[in-house]
Amino acid sequence: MLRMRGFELMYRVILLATLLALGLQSPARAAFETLGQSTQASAMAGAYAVHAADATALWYNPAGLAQTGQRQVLLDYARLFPGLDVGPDINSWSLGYVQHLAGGTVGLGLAGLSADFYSENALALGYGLQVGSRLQVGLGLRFLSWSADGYRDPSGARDPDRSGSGLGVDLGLRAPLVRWREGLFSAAFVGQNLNEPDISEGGGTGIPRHLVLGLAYDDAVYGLEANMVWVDGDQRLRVGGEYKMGGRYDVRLRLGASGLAGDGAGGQVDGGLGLKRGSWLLNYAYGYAAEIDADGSQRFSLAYQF
Amino acid sequence: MMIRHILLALLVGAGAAGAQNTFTVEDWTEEVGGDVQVDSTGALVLGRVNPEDNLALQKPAVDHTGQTARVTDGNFTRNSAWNSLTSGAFNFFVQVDLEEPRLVDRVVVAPVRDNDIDFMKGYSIQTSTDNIVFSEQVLNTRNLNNLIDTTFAPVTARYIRVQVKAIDRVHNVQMSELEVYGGGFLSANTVGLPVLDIGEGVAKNLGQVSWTADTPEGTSLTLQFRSGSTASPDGSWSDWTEPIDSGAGVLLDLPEPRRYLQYQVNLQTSDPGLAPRLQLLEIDLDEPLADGVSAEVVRDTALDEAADSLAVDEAPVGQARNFLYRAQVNMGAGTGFDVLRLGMPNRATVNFVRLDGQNLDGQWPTGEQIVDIVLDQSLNQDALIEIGFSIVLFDERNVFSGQVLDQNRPNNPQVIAPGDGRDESLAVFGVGLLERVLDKGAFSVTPNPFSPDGDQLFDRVQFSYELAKLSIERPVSLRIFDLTGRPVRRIDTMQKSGAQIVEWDGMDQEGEIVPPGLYLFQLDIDSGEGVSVNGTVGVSY
Repeated sequence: MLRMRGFELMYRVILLATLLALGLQSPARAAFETLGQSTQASAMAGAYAVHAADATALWYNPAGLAQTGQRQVLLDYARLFPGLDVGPDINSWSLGYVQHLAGGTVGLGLAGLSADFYSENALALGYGLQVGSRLQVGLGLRFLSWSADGYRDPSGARDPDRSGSGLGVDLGLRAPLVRWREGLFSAAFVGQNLNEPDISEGGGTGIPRHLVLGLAYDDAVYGLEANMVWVDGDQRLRVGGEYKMGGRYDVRLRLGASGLAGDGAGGQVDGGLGLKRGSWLLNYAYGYAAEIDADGSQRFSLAYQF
Repeated sequence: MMIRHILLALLVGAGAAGAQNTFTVEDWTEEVGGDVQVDSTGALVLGRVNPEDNLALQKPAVDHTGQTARVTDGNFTRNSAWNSLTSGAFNFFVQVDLEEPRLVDRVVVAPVRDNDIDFMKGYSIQTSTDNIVFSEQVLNTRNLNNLIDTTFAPVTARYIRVQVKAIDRVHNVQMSELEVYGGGFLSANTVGLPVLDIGEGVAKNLGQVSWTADTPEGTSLTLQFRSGSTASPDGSWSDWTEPIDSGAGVLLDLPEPRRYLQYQVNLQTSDPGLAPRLQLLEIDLDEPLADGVSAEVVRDTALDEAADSLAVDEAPVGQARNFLYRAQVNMGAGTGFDVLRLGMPNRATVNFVRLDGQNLDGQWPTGEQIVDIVLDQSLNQDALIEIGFSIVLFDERNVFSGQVLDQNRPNNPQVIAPGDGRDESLAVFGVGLLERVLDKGAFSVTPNPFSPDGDQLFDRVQFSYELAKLSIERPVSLRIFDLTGRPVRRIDTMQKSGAQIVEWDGMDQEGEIVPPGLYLFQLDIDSGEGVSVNGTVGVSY
């Protein structure tokens, strides 16, 4: 009964945050936004800067690597917006590995997104370090590249194949804040693409810097997180929650909503499921973008810890 | 009803190109009658309310309970009067709705005939424009007259209320009629003016019409025209044009050449204190390019013979077919022309042009909706022009319009008339209307990816598709999103049946070029059926 009331509370918090988010402005950016998105994080609408404590930390907060006590291999696959009327299917994948070393934790990741004539790839290297008893610090480097086939029209005119690349620098902080009842409040700050890497072939178009401030609450049953993201001076709100049902398979239910903006913009609602059996973790996520008349995106991930 | 018109013949060109005249009306001094008047400057103005006219007559009236009060029927007898049915009628009221704002300055409350005692011993006259907030214009708490006739400063009002403000505790209050008087301008009027012999005995080619008018806020003025060849409008005359609301120079779309023209002026105001004024009217006239050009459109059965068994004025919807546009030129005293311009219901490709059966050489338009057939030299004699073209039709009734024009005076083309005087000569009927507004299978995105880098090669992406079942333009929106579902750009337009295109230049809503990447698009057609199509488009540079 207590768990059920808590689940309802989580649902209400997410709903309220979604409504708040509708009033926020959202900038329009494209490249590499979805690259490396993990299934667990997507099920919580990407509100994961605090919770990222495994191979997903390579993409969400490198400071989270410092919490990883075991080696882990994580494979993630997503089919984005299946069932579009026109154009190729969009597939996304990532592979991550983390290992604890004497001084901290190192992570290595590969990620890709492909759609027939267009592809994005990233190679990520991260390092997380425990500083003192409370603070975790992380540094991430991401080599980002994209390529597109040049269009050729029936008359023979052809655009050249194009590609671009850049190196993005991430910095993350994470710290527990205060205990409350049976749980713990934690906070995180992440700066992604701090150097705004230029990824256009001809130069002049950089990936904007993302600044993320996260606040999370965790107890034995619930995990809640809210992230505020600043991009080009605008804000986005992401809110997600996890209900730890436990049991033989350590079942976890996840819900999330990302707040999108103002005039005419919509939002996204996400949900998912996680299972754990021994050293294996299996996750599923579904995300529905309200503005687009397409089927929701589906994600799967499989992780092994040893 | 006489109007003084001034005809100014302004010689614009000389020689074979013909002279252009401007038919000018700048003074409507003489009484035009009806509800339209002419002011001291000679301008045509909306008429004024006659101060002797009872504005409340036959208008709806109710009392304080909302019941109908028969006080505006012009009947002064007891049987059609309002009766308070009590001597304690303090604050009871009767009000009339004039149904539009009027300038009001006088209210008359008439007693029941032969009843000198059941009248208002005190009253308040109140006015309102919205039936919510009333302003008191007159207050009299010691009235001794059974006929109340009160005047006040002119006020704009739609609702007039008369409220009981004193009673004697003995007599009821009765009212046979509530009359309201005022001044100001009428709310609207259309005035048809006499037929004009613009050609002074000969037919003319009608050009642009322009006018100067004073239209204060809350007022409007439009003009309509029709043309004919007889001195009195009859069945051979054209219909009135749609109301033209711009006086900045609009080409008259009427059968031509014609000798006679008639116009009507529609004047409106929502403020009885203001009125539109028509000060100057000018109509450009030219010598005819030909005495007459008439045409018909038929299926080119020589090419389409095996395709289907439909009549020559029918075609299957959504399928390309070949047609012949046959224009018969009766040159007469015309000055000649060298361009034939066709307005197609969809983009068409011209396959050949024949003049009196002989094929003409030339590069003919491909994929155009406005097709210009430019002749090597001016045509100055009777001829048969045949234009063969292919087109896909989408509507139940597809109309092909046409004009001829002289490149030396391109601003005044001459409308091609339908053959045999039948409008249907220039129409083709679609058979087997498509079930869907948009066929997603025929939707294309090219080039994809595109490169908005300004090198003039694939800088813009075109979303091409064919719409059906939309006989009038409907809102169409193209929205671009990034892969997180956030909106990047929105392009709104209006489209109807036919082959359509929407272009995206790679800019976001703020006018900045978007980063390279993969984007989602969604095209929505507000057809009442919730039609949309979505997909991906790539940007690379």
